[in-house]
Amino acid sequence: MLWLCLRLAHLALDVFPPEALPAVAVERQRVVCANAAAEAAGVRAGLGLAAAMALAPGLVVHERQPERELQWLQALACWAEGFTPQVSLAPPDELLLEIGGCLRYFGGLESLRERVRAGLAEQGLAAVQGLAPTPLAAQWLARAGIENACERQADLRSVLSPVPVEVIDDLDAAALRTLASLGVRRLGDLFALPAAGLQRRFGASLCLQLARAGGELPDPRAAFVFPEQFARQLELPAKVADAAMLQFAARRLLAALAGWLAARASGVARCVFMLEHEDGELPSQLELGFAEATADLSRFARVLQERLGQYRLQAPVWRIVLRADDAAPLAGRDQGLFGQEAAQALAPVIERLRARLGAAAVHGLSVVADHRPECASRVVLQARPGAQADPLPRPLWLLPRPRALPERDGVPLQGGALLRLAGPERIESGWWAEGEARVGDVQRDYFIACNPAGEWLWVFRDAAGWWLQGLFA
Amino acid sequence: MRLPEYAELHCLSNFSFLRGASHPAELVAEARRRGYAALAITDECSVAGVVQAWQALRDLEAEDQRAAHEAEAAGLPAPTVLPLPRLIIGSEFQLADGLRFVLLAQNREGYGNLCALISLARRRAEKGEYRLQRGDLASILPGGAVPGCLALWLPAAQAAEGEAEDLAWLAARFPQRLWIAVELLCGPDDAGQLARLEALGMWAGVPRVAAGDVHMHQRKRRALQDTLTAIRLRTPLFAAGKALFPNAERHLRTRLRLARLYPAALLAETLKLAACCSFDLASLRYEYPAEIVPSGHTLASHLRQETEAGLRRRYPAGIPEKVRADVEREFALIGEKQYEAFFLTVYDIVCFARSKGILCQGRGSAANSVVCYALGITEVDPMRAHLLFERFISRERDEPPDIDVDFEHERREEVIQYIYRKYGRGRAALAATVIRYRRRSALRDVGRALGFGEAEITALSASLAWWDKPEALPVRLAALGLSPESPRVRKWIALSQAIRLFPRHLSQHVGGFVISQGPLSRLVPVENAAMPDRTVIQWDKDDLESLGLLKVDVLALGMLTVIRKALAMVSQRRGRVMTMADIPPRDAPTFDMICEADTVGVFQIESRAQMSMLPRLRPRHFYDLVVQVAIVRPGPIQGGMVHPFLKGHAEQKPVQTISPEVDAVLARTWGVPIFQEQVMQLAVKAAGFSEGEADQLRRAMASWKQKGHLERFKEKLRAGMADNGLSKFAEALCRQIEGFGEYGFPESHAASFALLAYVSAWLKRHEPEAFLCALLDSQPMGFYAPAQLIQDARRHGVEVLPPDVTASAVCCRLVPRGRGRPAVRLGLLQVEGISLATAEAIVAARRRSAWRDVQDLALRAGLDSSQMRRLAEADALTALAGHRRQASWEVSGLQRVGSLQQADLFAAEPSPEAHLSFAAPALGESVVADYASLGHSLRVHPVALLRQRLADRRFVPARSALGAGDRALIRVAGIVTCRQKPGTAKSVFVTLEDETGVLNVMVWPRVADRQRRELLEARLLGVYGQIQSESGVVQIIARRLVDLTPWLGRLDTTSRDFH
Repeated sequence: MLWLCLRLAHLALDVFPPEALPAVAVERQRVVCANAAAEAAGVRAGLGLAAAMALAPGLVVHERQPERELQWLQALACWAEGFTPQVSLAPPDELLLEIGGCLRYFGGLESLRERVRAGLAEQGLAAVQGLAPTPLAAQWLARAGIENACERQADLRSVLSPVPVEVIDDLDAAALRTLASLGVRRLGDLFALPAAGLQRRFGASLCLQLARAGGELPDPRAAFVFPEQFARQLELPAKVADAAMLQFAARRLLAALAGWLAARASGVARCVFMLEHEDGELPSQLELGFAEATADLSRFARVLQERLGQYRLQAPVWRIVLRADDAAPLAGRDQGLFGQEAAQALAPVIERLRARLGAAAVHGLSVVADHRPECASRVVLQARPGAQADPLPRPLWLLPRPRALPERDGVPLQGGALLRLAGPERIESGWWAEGEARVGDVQRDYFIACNPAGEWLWVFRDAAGWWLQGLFA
Repeated sequence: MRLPEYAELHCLSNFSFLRGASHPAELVAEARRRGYAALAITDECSVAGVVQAWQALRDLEAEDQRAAHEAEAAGLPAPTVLPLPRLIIGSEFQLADGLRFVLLAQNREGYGNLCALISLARRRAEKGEYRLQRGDLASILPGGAVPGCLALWLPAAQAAEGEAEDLAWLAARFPQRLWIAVELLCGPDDAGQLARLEALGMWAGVPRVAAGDVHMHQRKRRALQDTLTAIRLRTPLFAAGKALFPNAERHLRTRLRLARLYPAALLAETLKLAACCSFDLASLRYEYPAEIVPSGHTLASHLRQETEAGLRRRYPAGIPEKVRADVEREFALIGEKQYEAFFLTVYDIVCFARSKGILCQGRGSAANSVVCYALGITEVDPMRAHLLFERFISRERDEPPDIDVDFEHERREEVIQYIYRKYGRGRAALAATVIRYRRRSALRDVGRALGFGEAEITALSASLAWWDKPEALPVRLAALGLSPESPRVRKWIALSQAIRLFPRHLSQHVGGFVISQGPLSRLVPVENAAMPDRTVIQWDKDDLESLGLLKVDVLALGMLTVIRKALAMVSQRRGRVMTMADIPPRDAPTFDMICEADTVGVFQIESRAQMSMLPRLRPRHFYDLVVQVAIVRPGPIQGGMVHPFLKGHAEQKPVQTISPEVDAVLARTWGVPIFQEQVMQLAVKAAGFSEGEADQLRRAMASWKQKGHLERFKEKLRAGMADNGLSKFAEALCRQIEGFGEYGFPESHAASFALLAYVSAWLKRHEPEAFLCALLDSQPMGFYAPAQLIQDARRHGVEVLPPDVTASAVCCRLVPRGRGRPAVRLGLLQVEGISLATAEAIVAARRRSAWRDVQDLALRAGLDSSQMRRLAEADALTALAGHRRQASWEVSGLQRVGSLQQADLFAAEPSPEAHLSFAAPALGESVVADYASLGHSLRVHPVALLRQRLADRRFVPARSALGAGDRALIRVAGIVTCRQKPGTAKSVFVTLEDETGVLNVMVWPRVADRQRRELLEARLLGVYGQIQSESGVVQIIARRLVDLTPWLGRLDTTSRDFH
């Protein structure tokens, strides 16, 4: 057995688009991971966010996203299947590959390690490679940043000796302090102490770990179960509106696909990215086709780049899914347009209307708590029942935009002079959106008025004059 | 059309926190501009803003008079003066079931009832909240609830179920005193609302009155008011929705507009109510508690008797004639102003403290009197300091006397509890401190309301280093990638400016007590403070001062604790009791030490800035110290008074002669104004201020940043002095006044502080061991951390012994050594993580018998494993278990039985374990561990371990640097013990410490900006720089900074950063 531990020290940041500026991932206001630019400015893991920002003004800050990290680790596991069928996840940021059985395929250890390195680099990733006969020793070496391979169990102790004790899992702060005051800084110091004495002071777990790392006790690891059918998804760190920005995440999925295909000695002639939008809009599809079935990541990447170069997104994307159904015969099931059509009798009607009139012509309204009439409702795909509007005198029909009304002697005209029925109701609100949104600050006096035709109108006056905004049915 | 008269009866100020969007003074001024007949300030369950409104009216009145006088003097016709609105005191309430109403005080009785009701509602709720139920109003007195108050019912905007019943219920509580507030605010259906309320009122027989639900003085505060709402609801503005008001009508509207909106009868009705409310805050009288005078005495006779007894004690050889004359003059003034009760109240508190052995010291305008010296309120002999009572209390200015009494910080609580015990909680409470928005809190809350992310907000406040000026804001924003031009960022900046100094909540004043004869809650509402069992009144010290109400300041001062502890140790060592009065007043060695700036740990004169001044000022007399304490402050520095003073002091003659009157004011400070009192006297003598105006100037100085009406006085000062040909002098004085604003430091306080500075310097010079013990046991305090205090003491030859479970007491203690100086044994409390209870348990158990081994210690002292580990890490178990590594192994191997709840944490009989021998740790490791556990090391200074490496890079020790000549280029390195950026300087000052001494480094802004990171982060700092040596003060001007922190390894040092 020979274990290769890939420690992705920067995974917490890798899940976000790469950044030339100083960037950090934070958890509970504390830096967990900093990129090279941030490190150059003196930002280190463990630093408080405020301190980090003081060091690197303009710091890009990402809240750590553990689920996304796990997704990425799983995608990487798929990719790693290209090297060995025995892969284990060691979250949050380690991947274990048993490579004893596959060294010959890849022309020896150094050649394999080089391929792994190159494969990761192609995905824009870097990992420390710890190599040892036991998985735990491989992890410890990787955590200590030691890449020298330890191939023989007999060498384990001497190789591990200079490794600092902080690599050990589950040592609490008190235990670390005690170790420090004993002068125990490295694993070698720990090996020198009697096991019984250690157990008495630090509990059974420490001794168990030492024994497992040294190969004296078995250390079974749950093997990663590879998907039978390839469909993997990645949530984007932020909504993406520009197709070129998708490249980063899409490549990561293609790399996983390449590894997965390699492990099955198969290829695909086409695969499909589903680009998911918000608010229940239909996902867009982006298909990649190849002249022949292939499993070559660089080909995938080239086609991807071409396709994205000319693709226009219809709406911002928050998640992408890569499906490669052709490599496996099973047909994928289409997802329903809405999750719950069957439950609601209205839905089929809406669907039929949409089919006839076009999707954009049919929409629902939902109430928004805002004093400004234009902002008090919002177009939604499907209105939810139950939202109550305020009992205010409001017309059912609002014009898309207020229409200017001519006036004579200060009286607005609409098919003749308007007669004031009620008002003024003064509305002054929305200054915070001024200069940013379509509707900014409004300062208006509203009136209900009647025109000579007997129609009731909703008009207002502002600094620019009189406007018609709605009709009472 | 004739504009109708109007009185606004429902108006919130920004003392309805996060609701009202205008200061009380703004509301008052606007109401006057609008020609309102009256304005009621009706904050929600509060009268916290009314004194400010009342004071604003008085200021407007004074302004009018001044304008009239000036016009008269210039022979012009009198300016037309708008009448001032009358101020009505009231409060808005919401019952727990939602019923809302306003109460307005008609007279003193009604005001008292209103305060009592507010107190009741506030006292039973959490800090900042209130709770009122129907039952609280139900106790039907013959005249109904809350007699002496008018009530306005505040109905909901839309018809609500049960409103008729609510109205009837209120009408029964307030017979003939209830109105319906009709608030027409351009809502969706004002006409309908008016009709509905008219009908309701007719049905219930309750009259209607117009009101405005005012939340701001002008409509342009709308954005700010919305922002406050969003902050209050903790939601961004765009999500606040209908919680925001639909429009800006809740301002003080013009009477023209009101006339259009309201029926005339409703407006006329407001005047009827206003006419019923005749209460004026000026009628509040403060009554002193009676129990301070024993029966058979009057206030005056008691004060005289106690003073005479004190004088005989102070002057056993006979009372000097001058003292006698001064006392009589003071008695005359005290009697005239009826201040006897105030002096006796303070005297009573001081007597209690003395009976308990609590050291205290008075300061402030009245404290420097012979009377206070005789009563033992202060130890400053007025003769010794050439202090004159009348310099501090003016007959003409009607300002209350000021005595702050400092107590030992560890025992002040006893004094506070005494006051509560003696007068009861109903009669004694702390003054409030209004916590206001500052730059950072404003940016944070406004940023959140505008929807900025937590990251952006943190980024902005983090990037504003504590030395940045407000002008730096756009630059900092740009650095964060936020364009200062973008609409939202502009709103952020503008609103953050606007919200600055808005009150956020009431907190307790550090120690200002108000004590009254009757129930305090009928004078001013009392509410809960954050601390359990503390209550605060709703007014702050400025409010009390405005109304002429007196408070007694019971403050905490760490140095008094130090002095008491040190004196106790000295008394024990010398075998006779030693008090502050026994310290020789003119001790040459003490002044020598002060002149050399050897003052680490000494009260007030230990900071870097003070130290750099000492060798120049060279204090040789007590009064020099009074000046020294006051001169290193923003006032004198900004006024450019320091150098002229030093010159005059060196030559011992005044630097300028201006006019006989002015020269007399400035004689004691060589013709240079140093103290706040002098500035006020100058205003009178040289700029034609009246005494009353001088008093206004003093108040403006104390609060110019908040209220900003200092400009007016500066104008007058300039004009007045220009008439006397003193323009240049006036400019400097104006700058000085601004400096005073932030840290006003009057002579009367400086004198008391100077005494403590002298006493602590004497202790440092003659009893450095006891002084060190007392300092270490009173931490945290002062300018230096324990590590620096210990380093300094050791440089002065004090032997310091480490904490040891077999020898240490709970606190630091002197170890006698025959005839030589004693050593200092550090106490167990110096060990990080050892609590007082733990330390006491160890000492108590040791007293019974010595420890056999660590097992015995753990068992008998009842220690748990973490406490044992702390002791081992601190190397306090050496005597029992050997060096730190060995002790840690032993301690961590102790076996526990059962759960933590059991008394025996460790098994009585441990299972045996083979002995394991550890090699002793290296010196470096020990030093690192010492710092981790104790914050210092007695073995060797960490920099000494790096000396070879430092020498290789040509860094020299501090001692050699201090010996190098002026302008020498030099490299030094040391642990950063302090970073400081005084408000008056552009540079940042860094203090470095190595094994040979301490160095002051000055970093100019250019270097500070370029090497921000090194400056902020480095714990071991290398400096390439140039020596600047001037009259014995040596500092290094940094050219380049090098962060050497990695050389320290795991060493954990801390710097104290000041700003």
